Amino acid sequence: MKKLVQSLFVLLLIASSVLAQDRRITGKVTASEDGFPLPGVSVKVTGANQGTQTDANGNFTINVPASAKTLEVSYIGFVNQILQIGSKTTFNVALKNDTKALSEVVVVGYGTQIKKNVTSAISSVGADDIKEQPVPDIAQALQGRLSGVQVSAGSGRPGAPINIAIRGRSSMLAGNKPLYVIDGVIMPSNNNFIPGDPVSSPDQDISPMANLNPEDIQSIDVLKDAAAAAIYGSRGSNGVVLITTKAGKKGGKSVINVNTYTGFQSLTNVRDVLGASEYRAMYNEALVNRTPSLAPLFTQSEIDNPGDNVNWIDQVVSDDSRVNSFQLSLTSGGNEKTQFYSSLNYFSQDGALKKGSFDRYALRTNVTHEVNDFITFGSNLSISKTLRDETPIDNSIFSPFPRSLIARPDQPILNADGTFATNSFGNPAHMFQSDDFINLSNIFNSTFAEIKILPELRFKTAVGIDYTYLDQRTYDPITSLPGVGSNGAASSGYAQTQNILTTQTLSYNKNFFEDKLNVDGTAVYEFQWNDRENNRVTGTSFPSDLTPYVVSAAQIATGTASLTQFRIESMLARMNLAWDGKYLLGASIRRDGSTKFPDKGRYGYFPSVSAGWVVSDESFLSNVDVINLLKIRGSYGETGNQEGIGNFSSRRLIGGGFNYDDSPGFALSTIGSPDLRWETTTQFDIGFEISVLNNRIDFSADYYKKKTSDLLQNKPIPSTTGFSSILENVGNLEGSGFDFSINSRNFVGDFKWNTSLNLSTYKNKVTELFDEQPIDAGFVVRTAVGQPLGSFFLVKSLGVDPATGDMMFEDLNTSNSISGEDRQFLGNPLADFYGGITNNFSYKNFDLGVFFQFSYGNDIYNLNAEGVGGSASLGGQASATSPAANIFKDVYDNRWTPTNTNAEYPRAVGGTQGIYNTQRSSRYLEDGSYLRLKNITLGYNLPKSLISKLKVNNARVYVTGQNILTFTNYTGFDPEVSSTFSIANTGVDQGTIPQFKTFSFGLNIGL
Amino acid sequence: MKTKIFKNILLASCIVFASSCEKSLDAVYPRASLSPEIVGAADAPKLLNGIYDALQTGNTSFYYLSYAMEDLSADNLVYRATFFQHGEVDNNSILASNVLVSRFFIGPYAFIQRANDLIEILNTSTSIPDDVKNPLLTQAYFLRAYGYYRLVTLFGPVPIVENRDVVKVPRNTVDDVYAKIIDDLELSITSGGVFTDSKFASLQASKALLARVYLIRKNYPLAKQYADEVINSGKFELTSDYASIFKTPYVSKEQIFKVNFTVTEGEQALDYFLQHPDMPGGGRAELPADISLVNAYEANDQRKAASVQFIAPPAANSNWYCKKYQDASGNGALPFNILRIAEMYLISAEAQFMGAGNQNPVDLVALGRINDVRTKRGLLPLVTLSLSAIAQERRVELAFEGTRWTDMKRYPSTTTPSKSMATVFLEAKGRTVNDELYPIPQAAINTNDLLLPNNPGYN
Repeated sequence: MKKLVQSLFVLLLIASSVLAQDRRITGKVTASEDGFPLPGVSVKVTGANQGTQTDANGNFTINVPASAKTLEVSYIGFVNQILQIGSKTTFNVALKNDTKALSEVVVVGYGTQIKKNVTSAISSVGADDIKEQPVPDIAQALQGRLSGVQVSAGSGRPGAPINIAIRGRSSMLAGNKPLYVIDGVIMPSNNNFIPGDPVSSPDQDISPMANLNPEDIQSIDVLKDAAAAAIYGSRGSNGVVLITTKAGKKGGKSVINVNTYTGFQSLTNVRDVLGASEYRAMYNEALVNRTPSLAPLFTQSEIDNPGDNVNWIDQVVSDDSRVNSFQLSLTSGGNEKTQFYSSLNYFSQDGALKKGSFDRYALRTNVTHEVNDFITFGSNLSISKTLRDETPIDNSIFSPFPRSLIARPDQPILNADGTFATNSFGNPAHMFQSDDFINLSNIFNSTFAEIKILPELRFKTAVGIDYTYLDQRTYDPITSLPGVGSNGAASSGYAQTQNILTTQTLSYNKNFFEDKLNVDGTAVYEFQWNDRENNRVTGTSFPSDLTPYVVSAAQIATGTASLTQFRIESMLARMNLAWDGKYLLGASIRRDGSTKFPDKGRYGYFPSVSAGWVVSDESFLSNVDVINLLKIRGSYGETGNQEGIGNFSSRRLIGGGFNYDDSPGFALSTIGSPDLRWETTTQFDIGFEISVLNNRIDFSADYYKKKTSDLLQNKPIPSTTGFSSILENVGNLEGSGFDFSINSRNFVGDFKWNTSLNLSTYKNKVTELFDEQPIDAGFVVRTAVGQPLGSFFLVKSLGVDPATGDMMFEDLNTSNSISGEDRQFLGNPLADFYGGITNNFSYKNFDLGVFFQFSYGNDIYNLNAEGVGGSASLGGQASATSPAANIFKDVYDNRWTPTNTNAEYPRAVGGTQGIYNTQRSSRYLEDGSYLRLKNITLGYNLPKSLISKLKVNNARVYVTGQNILTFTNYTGFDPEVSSTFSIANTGVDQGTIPQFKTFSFGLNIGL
Repeated sequence: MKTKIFKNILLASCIVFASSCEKSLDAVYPRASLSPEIVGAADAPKLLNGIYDALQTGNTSFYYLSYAMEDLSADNLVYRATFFQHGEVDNNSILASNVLVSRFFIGPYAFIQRANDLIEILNTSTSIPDDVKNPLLTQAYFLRAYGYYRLVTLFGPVPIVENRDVVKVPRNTVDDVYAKIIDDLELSITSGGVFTDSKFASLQASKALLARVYLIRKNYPLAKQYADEVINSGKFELTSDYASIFKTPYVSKEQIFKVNFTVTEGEQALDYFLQHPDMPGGGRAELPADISLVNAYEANDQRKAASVQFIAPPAANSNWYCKKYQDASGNGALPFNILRIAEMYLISAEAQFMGAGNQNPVDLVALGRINDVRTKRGLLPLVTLSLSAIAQERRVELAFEGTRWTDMKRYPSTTTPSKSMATVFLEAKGRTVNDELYPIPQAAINTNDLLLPNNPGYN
């Protein structure tokens, strides 16, 4: 068979050469936008192997056979052109910019690079990939889109922080959040500080990223490996997210776009709790089963007719929760000198509960202007304000959601006089009286001037400002649950964060050796100022709930105000060399100096090297038509993480506040850590990219290995110093994983079908800790050498004893009792693999996008269920005086009874046995794997014939479903939840509100 | 042309940024604390406040509970609920892992080291006039000595530390630690800071502590000398209203030194642990009074009603409770009395009886001292004296004031005179003499193996 093909091939060649009667065609290729000649443009005879490239002046010469009808002119970043040869022998070709090809240029930090030349691991998404999702935070829109980038929402609270983990975790104390860079400005990480009680959890914390309007975003490039991230030096260890906002266009018409949608939200999942009759039956059962047995509390008639029967979940969850967005934007066009993009955005999202909301107002104007032929000026300005009306949703006794799961259903909502009735677990309906308003105002500006000194040498000076003003006002009314004791309590405070960055960039790009060698160099000097000021006052005892500001408080309880600062000075250099477009070499080095570090170790160097080989450009592959691109690349680099270090933790300091007898005092407040330094992560990455079948299928794969050394840890020191621990760099951690992504254009005709899939793996283990001492954190987490970071360390459940209905636990130390000594490592919150799969279909004016997202092999500890008062307690705390907590119905239905001895859950029992059965153990450790239909969008573009009558350019209507289906075995509400994103509590479910399932309808009109 | 412009811009930006930036990396400093280099003589009074602050907090949490430990280890308090670590103390079966005891070990080093910091500044400064410096030194030396006193009485041999170097320091002998305490107290006295207010240490406070230390060390002449000097100083006097010492505003001429707490400081909640919920200011009924203490009060002793209160049924946890730590406002704004003049009378009596008096039961000097106290408390004078009568008097006079366990270790048992009261008390519970001392906490050993071996019986 193969032979036959070869023979045919030879025959064809002979035939064509015999028939050939060559013609010589010449021409010149320029860019339509500026008329400059384009070198290296491919000119090929359609359907034949003959081809050439334009020279440095854009000229080409090609011999074509007489049979040739058309020539194909193609160049990266431009729209291909087909030339009808006819009788012409000279062509002048003006290639148009391919807007789609914008994605072919990758933002790399302090510049851009042609995608083909990139030698590090960078994942990118464009505006089209993330549009039309009813979420406030761009991070949510990234979920499942990029390999090596794991996004989890943590909770369904609007505007809450979203966790982005780029290639896993690399720190215990210093945080695992990536660095965000918006339009070249490094964003501060300390602008989410709520003035009162700085906590970092999705329950209470807020995300400053929610101030950024996702519809203004042009592209997001994620720097994953060290070679890419090392350019951000001491802040690059957790990866870097580069966000580029939209700009005006040089060509085409100016466009006004109106995008709006409205949606209806409900919880992704609701679980049934017991009704009053079943609750009372369970309560009785738990009493009778106690040792010694107690008399049942309720008669059969009291069970059958409980009087009140309240579903508390219904009482706290809103039945009319909406999301609305309106965006008006103007994208300029057709002006060579000045381009701008301007937008106005309003977004509002109700919370899941009866109270709570998130609103955003955002304005943006991005302008660039060519002052003359060598100076370009640009300025991006955005102003935004988000308003949050919060309800406590943590695990506290004032939080309606977790309390609604365990509140007694046989107790009423209201008393006869209309006041809130008492519930043994707090009346959840009574928990909405407190006010907690958190507003975040932000002004962002990035301004630059770029000077073209020589065609190959440019200088850019830029200043970026991010100013955040976060204010919070709380009020607990006189009759509210938390306000009762204090006769009304209020607080008011702000934290303002001012971050200024100046960046001087010198860039050089020139070809040498007849354009064989491309040299692309960058040198930068950068300085960052960060000041944060906060202020807060609290007061108690109010005359009326109508005067809820602190000014009316009879007692000013506490007050505080402070200022703290840091500065970072950086210099960096990068050089990328490309030989013949095939052999690529890159190297960079950054020098960071930070005021957080002691004088002697104030500056650090972060180098990287990378190399690539475009194999497909080699002659031995140039005949293999099936392969359009094959690139192999590898990189190695060093990055740092300084987030865990307070502005002054390294210094020995004498602090105020050590007062006596109400007169001020001083004392040594920090002993100082003179050798403190950033955590250092080295990462090795090897990968390849391949495009086949006319670029119909793109595939890329990466393997990486990360090693973090100098992990920060609070190291215990002799207490005879007057201190018990010191922050030091003492641990080591290793991680590794694979990133895969594949994009395939399955059908390209009228019916189009694209599929993209990404899948990533990650695992890690701690390799060194101080003195090999394990560190317990949170409720169930232990960090120990040889174990993954954040592993669950628990007593092992052996299930329900069919004979007794009680839990059995593994007595590891054979002490005949179960204690903390019997704990063992039983799981961790890291997924074995995670990712997403998108299928986009379009036919004529219709399009359909179906996006699934998944995580496999991660464990969740269902903390909310555990304990004698948990949502799976089965009467654990029931006694004559202490009522049982309500529980989930499926726990009740599947409990052990004398007639159901092969049960999943133990029997209902109070007292000592109840405590034993509900103790912290792997009984509550569950598989958190899930597959979620994250987004499905059906769109329809109105036909030209119709819209031209309406004088609009385009009009589109769509319906979207978000989080529509979830496949999981997890018994809690939402497998994505997490109490916090700290190492101590990742994958621990404290009864957090699940995410929304949203159906929305949208309309886009372009004028 | 273009090149020239560029050169100028580059030059300008280099000057503006590069030169000024290097400086501004150094220009950042905290606004809530100071670099030690700039803390000097002028700040010395504030650093002194910092030492007092450590007596309140121990630079840890729950340190204030340490003030109840002598009474809990001994026969004045019992454990009822919540902190099982308190149960270990009450049962005299403390584990090295006891986290509360670990804090009681950390706390004194916080004030010892803060005192070290201040003493170094005062002794190296040439700019502070003596009349400013001396009262500061008097207080700093006293507070440091008191830190070692807390350590040596609970833990026995402990390290003596001179500075903040992060190094492992081995344990010193009990004799060394007492010698250090005596040195510091003598330095405090010679520095000459005279008593002004019992909220602050003074040379009189140092003499009072020295009297107690010499009594413990059985140096009766010096114990008597210092106790008498305090009595004769004219600064203090016995009150006929014992209860007033422990009531708002908690000011009495009996007080030589107390750790004061204001409403805003509010750093202690000892009343919360010692009182019953039904008592003024509330509480949790965690550590009721030992019934043997209640029974130890003679009839008509006004100290009983001032010290303990019975909460009758049907209230839950009906029992006798301490009422010496009571702030009806619930703010915990009440002092811990560290040294009172009544104790000086009792020390003087005991030192006379055991020393010059040669244990003569009718020594008039000794009887005079103890009877001065008894008559103020509404009791008849004693006509004959014994060591056990002095011990009994100390118990009811100083109940809940942090002296009982050390006293029980000092006094011979009345039933088995060859053993201490403490040893007999321990053996009756099935414990041993080893339990007289607390263990060096495991947390401290983890960071300093030179603390090993632990106290006998804890290894």
